Parts: sequence; C-alpha cells; structure tokens
Amino acid sequence: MTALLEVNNLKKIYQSRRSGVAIEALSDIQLEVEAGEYVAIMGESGSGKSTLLNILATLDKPTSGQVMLDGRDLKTVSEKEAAAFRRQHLGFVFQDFNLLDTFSVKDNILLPLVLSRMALKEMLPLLDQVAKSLGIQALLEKFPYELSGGQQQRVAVARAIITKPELLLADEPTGALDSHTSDQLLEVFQQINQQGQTIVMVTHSSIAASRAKRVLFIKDGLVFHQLYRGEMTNQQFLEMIAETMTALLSKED
Amino acid sequence: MFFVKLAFQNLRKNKRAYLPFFISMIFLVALNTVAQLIITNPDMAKLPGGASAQMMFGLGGNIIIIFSVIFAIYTNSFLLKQRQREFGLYNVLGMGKRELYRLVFWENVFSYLMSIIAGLITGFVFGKLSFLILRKLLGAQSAFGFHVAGSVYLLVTVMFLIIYILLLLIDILRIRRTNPIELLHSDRSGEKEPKSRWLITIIGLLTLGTGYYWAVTIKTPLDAISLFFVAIVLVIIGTYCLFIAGSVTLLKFLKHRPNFYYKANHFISVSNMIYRMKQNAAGLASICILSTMVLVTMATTVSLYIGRADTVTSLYPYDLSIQVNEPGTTTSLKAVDKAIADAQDKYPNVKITEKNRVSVYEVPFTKKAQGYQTLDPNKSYNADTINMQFITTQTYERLAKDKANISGHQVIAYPVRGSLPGRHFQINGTDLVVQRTIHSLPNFKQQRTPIDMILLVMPNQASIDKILKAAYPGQAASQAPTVKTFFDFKAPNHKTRIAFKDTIKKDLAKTHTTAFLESKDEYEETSNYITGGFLFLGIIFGIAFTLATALIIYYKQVSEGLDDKKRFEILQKVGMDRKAIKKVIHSQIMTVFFFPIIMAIIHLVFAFSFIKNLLLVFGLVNGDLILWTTIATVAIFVIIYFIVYQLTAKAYYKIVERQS
Ligand SMILES: Nc1ncnc2c1ncn2[C@@H]1O[C@H](COP(=O)(O)OP(=O)(O)OP(=O)(O)O)[C@@H](O)[C@H]1O
Ligand SMILES: [Mg+2]
Repeated sequence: MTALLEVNNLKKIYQSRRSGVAIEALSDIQLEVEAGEYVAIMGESGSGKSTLLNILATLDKPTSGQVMLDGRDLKTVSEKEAAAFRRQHLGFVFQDFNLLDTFSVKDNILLPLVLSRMALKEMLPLLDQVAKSLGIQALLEKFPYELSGGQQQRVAVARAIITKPELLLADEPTGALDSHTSDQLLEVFQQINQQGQTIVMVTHSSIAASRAKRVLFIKDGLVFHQLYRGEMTNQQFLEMIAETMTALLSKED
Repeated sequence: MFFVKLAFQNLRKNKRAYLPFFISMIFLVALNTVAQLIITNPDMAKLPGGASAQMMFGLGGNIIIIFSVIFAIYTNSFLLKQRQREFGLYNVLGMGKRELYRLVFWENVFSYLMSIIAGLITGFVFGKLSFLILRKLLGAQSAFGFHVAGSVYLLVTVMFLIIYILLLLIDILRIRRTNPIELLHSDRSGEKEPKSRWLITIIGLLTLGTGYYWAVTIKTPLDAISLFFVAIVLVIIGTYCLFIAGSVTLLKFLKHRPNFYYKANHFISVSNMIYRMKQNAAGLASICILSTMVLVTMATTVSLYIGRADTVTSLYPYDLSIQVNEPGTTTSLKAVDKAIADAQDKYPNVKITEKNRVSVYEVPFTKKAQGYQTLDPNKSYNADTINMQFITTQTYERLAKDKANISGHQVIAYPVRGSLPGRHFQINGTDLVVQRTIHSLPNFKQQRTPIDMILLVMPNQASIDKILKAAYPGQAASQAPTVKTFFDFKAPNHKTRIAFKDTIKKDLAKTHTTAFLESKDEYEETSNYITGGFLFLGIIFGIAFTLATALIIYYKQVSEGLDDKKRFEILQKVGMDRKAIKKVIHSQIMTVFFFPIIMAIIHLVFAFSFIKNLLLVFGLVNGDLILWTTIATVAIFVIIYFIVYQLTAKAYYKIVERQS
C-alpha cells in the first residue's frame, strides 16, 4: 500500500521582515501517512506543529523539501489551484476556528459545499449527519458570536469533515473543549476514521493522542520520536504516551 | 501632567485613525471661516441687490453650520469606534473611567487647538481665493474688497469650541455606557445579524413614492416652492428608511430563498452585504443625499448663470418699457414722450428702434372647468391664477398688419403661457369662441411670467368693457387700460446706454406721473449679482458636499477593509480561490459605491421638473439649456465620484489583500 501523504526533508524558515532574524520552525521533517491512518502529532508549544500542518494544507509554502499527497507533489499545485485543491482534497480544523461571523452555524458548515457548487438537496442530508454526530443540531441557526469556544470548535470540525476529505488535518481540535465534549469529538474522529477517513491531528492532550493509531513527537523542527499503538488498549497507549512525554521533557534539562 | 503627555502620545501614535478626523475638522473650520468672511464683508451690502445677496449668503452660512455639526459628530463616531478597544485596554489595565475621561479631555483639547489653528489659516487663504472668484462671477468693481474682520475668527473659534465640547460629551457618554469587555471587543466584528424591518421599508417606499409623485406632478412654480420643500423632506426620509431597512429586508428576503441563496456567488455576497448594509446604510444614504444636493444645487445655479442672458430677454423683451396706468393717461403719455425726446436730444447718437405703444387691459382670473372667474381679491396668486390681457381689433391690426375679421363672441387667442380650456369658454359667464389661435404677435413681444398668461383680441371696446364690468362689479367707470410704451435702443457704448436710460428715468420721476419704467440694462446688472452669487454659493456647497462625500467614502472603505480582511482570509483558507474572492470584493465595492450615486441620479430625474419650474420663477425658460446643464453636471459629478472611488478602492484593496 502506497502512502497517502509523504513528507521528505521538509524545512521551513521564517524570515522576520522587520528584524531580518530567521527562525527555523521546521528543520528536516520525514513523515509518511497511509490512507486510513489516524496520526497524532505532539510537541511543545512553538515546536512547529501548526507550521507543519499549514504546509500540508497548502496554506503555506515550505522553504525546501517535498510534500506528496496521493502521489501528487504539492509544489505542482499552483497558487491558483490551491484553493480548489484544498476544497476537494483536504479538510482543516483551525486552531483559532476561523468561522465567518457573517454566516450562521449552518451556513458556515455548508460553505465548502456551496463553494463546490453542490446542489442544496444533496447538502442538507450531509449537514444533518455531521451536526448529529457532533451534537450541534440545536446550534444550526445561531451565529458564531453566540457560541462558546467549544461550540465554535465543533462547528469548525463539522465544516472540515462535511466534504469527506481525503485527508483531515486538525490543529488542536480539543483545545477549547471540556473533557466530556472532547470525548464526544474524539469519538466522532474515531468513527469517521473507522469509515476510512485519514486524520492528522495536532494535540497537546495525551488523552486525545491516545485515541490515534500512531503518535509523532516533534522537537526542534524534527520528528523526534514515534509511538505505534499496535494492539494496545487506549489506556495502555495513554500510559505509554505519558511516559514518553515525561522522558522527553526530562531529557531537556 | 501624566494625562496631558499620554493624550499627546495617543494623538501621535494613532495617526492613522486621527488623520482623517483632523482633515475633516480642518476642512470644516476652513469652510466656516470662508463662509463667515463672505457674509460679514461690508462691501457686499453696497452692491445693487446686495442686501438680498447677503441674506442669501447668510442662509447658506447657517446651512453650513448645521452641516458642520452633523459631519463633526459623524467623523467623531468613526474615530471613537476605532479607539474603543484602546480605551477598553486602558480600563482593563487599571485606568478608571474618570482617568479615561481626563485622557479624552486632553486629547480633545489638543485636537481642538490643532484643527482650529490649521483651519483658520486654510480658511484665510481660501477666503482670499474665493473672494477673487466671487468678484469675477459678480462682475463687481474693484471697490469690492477683501476685508478680514477679527470677529469672524472669534466666531469660528467659539463655534468649534462648542462643537468640540459636544464631541467630548459624546465621547464621555460612550465610555460611561460600556463595560471594559465590551470596550475591548467593540471593534471586533461579530455583531448581531440585522433583522428585516418591513414596517420601515414600507414607510420608506411610501414616503419616497409620495415625494416623487409630488415632485413630478407639481405644475406651477408658485405652488412648487412650498410643496417641494415637503417633497424633499419626504424623499430624504424615504432614502434613509430604504437604505437602512429596505436593503436589509431585501437581502434577508433573498437569503430565505434557499435555491437562490445557496449558490456559490450569491452565498457570500448576500451574507456579506447584509452586514455591510447594517453598518453602512446610514453612511450610504448620507452619500446619496449629499450627492443629490450637489447635483441639484450645481444644476440649478449653473443653469441660472449660463442662462442669465436668456432670462433677461424672456423677462424683458424690450430694452426699455414704460407703463402708464391711470385714467386720463394723455398727460402722462405726453410726459413720457417728452422724456424720450429730451433724452434723444441729449444723446443724438443713440438710435431708437422697434418703438411702439399698446393699450392693453390686464385682469387676473382663476381657472375654472369651463373658463375663468374673477380672482378673489383676498386670495394670493396660485397655480390656478391666470393673467388675461385684452386688446382691441384696432390695436391688433395696427401691430400685426393683418385683418382681424372677428365679431360677436369671437376672439383671437394668443396663449403666451398655459393653454385655453377649449374653443368655447366663458369669462365670468360671458361666452367666447376662439376664432383662431396665434403664437406670436409682431411688434408686441411678450414677457415670460411664472404664472399662466393669455392674450385675447376682442372684437371691439364694448366687448372688453363688458368683461371688465363683470370682473369689477360696482365700479362705475370702465377700467383704464395700461398703456405700454416700449422700444429697443442702440448706443455707441455702454456708458452712453446707461446714461440715456438714466436720463429718461430721472426725467419721468420729476413729472410725478405714475409712469413705471422697466430697464433691461438695470435688470441685467442685478441679475448678474444674483446669478453670480447663486453660482458662488452653489460652488461652495458643491465643494463642501463633495468633500464630505469623499470623506464618508474613505471612512467606509477603511473600516470595511479592516473587517473584510479577516473574512476573505478565512474564505481563502476554506477553499475559495483568489480570483473568485477578487470578483466578490469587486462586485461588493461596485454595489456599495454606485448604489448611492444611482439613487441620487434617480432623485435628480424626479426633481428635474421642479428644477425647471423653479428656474421659470427666475425667468429661465430655456428648457434645453437646463437639461444639458443638468446632464453635464451629472457627468462631471460622476467622474469626480469615480475618481474618489478609484482612490479609496485602492486603499481598500491594499488593506484587504495585504498578505499576513
Ligand atoms: N508567520 C510567522 N512568522 C515568523 N515566525 C513564525 C510564524 N509562524 C510561526 N512562527 C514561529 O515558528 C515556530 C513554530 O510555530 P508554530 O505555530 O508552528 O508552533 P506550534 O507548535 O503550533 O505551537 P502551539 O502549540 O503553541 O500552537 C515558532 O517559534 C513561531 O514563533
Ligand atoms: Mg499551533
């Protein structure tokens, strides 16, 4: 089986325009994700997780290195095509939600479908489905400013998964949720993953990470360590992740 | 001292927010200075017709003051909106509201000092400049000088002190009413979705419709002036209602049509426009009203100025006309003849042409379905008033050199303005039949008047007397005719012309007759002052309103650009390509921009018949001239508007498209 996503020697250097200081956010990332996989990425704040995800989502360009999605080099996706490419192949849950305040929750979720010119008849059943699975049916007619942070996050997730993308990228999707709703969201992720949805999720929570099949640790712009679930239960996997985290942190000192 | 320093720092740091505010305030100070300099100029009163011109300018000055207050509040509200977040931050960081008031107070003090100083200097420079223009327009002599009264500066300084105190109160009230969280977030979008308001929409439609209907159906200018004012108020109310409620209602209506709404291009524009209209409807309506004002003032005043020669000829068909209206006119007429002959002796090189003398009976009537009835002497002239002139067949035949061939009830009708109810009509019950209609009467050119006028050639003196008797019952003697003596004259130069006219005028005054002299030259001079004065006012208003429009547009672009930037970024991330986004931005800008100007042009179209009627009061009958002037005004204004649009749209695109 070939990898759905393949990242080779990815490097990203931010050049600060004002001071001219270069910040190396990613130095040399190697990564492969197979179709149907569920990968969690962990790392401390500022380690470059969002940067990586943004590059995978074609929202940002790498300084060097290669990203292949489904056999296609993202470099060949021109700026013009990038938007359509994102719409057709990717779903993205942003760290800061990025909901449009001019749209109701319903319209926010439908946005990618409308942009793809789907017929209204086809959209509505999809909307029902995701809204139910995320428990936001009651919020559909509300506006983002009327929602709590956690509710907004679930809406952002709904918008990302409604298109059934080849690859779902999520940047801390449980960041603003309490443990209950966070469980609910992770349940949804697991469900759609079982239906074949490939997921790459950035998270700070070991619990969230423990639901994935594989966990990557990023440090100093490198994939530092990987853990595979194998046959472990959630609980066992969680313990292992926690141990690794402590080990990683203590090594630093 | 701390607050003084902090306030000063704020002004410097917030240059971007403060600059447009300063420009507006300086502009307002300068505008008022110019206006007051003109109004208080002592030379103005010395001009012929100067008193009325001064009154006119005084009125204009008051309008500018009202406009300044409104515009200052608008500009300030825009500034306040941008600064609220900063106030919130200070508040959260431990600055009490009291301290905030002090901060705002000092900011306003600096702001006041800066704008008043810069404004007065600018005002002085432009005052001088506009005086030169005004003098040119009026064709006034060099005696018309530029005077600078210190009182003007004092007046403007005090006026803006009051305006600034008002602004300070508004600021304080605003800070007082909000809590820190709100202050912090007040510049963040995420407002409630506006509701559709059918009632206000319907009120808007009704008021606009009524206003339009009145503006179009008004037939006579005398009616027009009072009614049209009401029509203007209705149209203004209608415009605001429709922009504020109507636009949102329409968009929400579209939004509730899922098959229309959930289309890629409608989806984003409709939902964005709802918010845009909510935030900007008042601004857009103001742009529309201001644009309409500019168009109407400019079209009217320019028409008057360009058409002033036309006006003079239509109001004064002859160079000189002397009317005598008293029983036993022979002595008076002799005095008239003598005055003319004496003047001729004195100025032998003045050549008199087209001289004639006509006896005519003039009676005002009220229009009725079948004909005319004597005007109630207690009532003033109105749309139904008509002036009838009666002449005899002898007079007609002498003038027209044509056989009248009428008898009995027959008349020859010359509708100078307006028309007859039909071939058969009655005057106070007397039946008359129109034998034929003529459209000019040689050697007796008619004056164009704002009210209807019909000249009737009657078979004989008896038939005229019969009508006069019915019209003025109880008066024993038959009414005396008005004897009009009129002629054109050519003089070798302007000075002789004026001297010749003045000689006759003085001579007649000495004879103590009731002879009433009308001189085209005299009128021409006053007309120059009046039309020139109007044009000058028109230009000042035009510039003021256009600048105000441009500033409102600029504010809108900047504030919307900041809001829209984030939205378009998100859309791009979610998968809308740049080209599509550009298209949406473009169509949005176009709609927002051209909606007000298109509405303004529609307003103008409906106001056109009124403008024509109004100009008729001033004696301007040349409809083509008015039409072309109006079209040219619209064209020029649209070009200026488009340039403003281009400039500010660039600022908007820069904000929206700035890559983060
Ligand atoms: N636009 C940018 N310009 C310059 N530097 C940037 C930019 N975006 C991110 N960085 C820097 O790159 C590094 C990685 O940032 P990134 O946002 O990927 O971190 P992260 O792992 O997502 O952190 P967190 O868990 O806090 O979200 C940081 O040091 C950050 O300061
Ligand atoms: Mg991040």
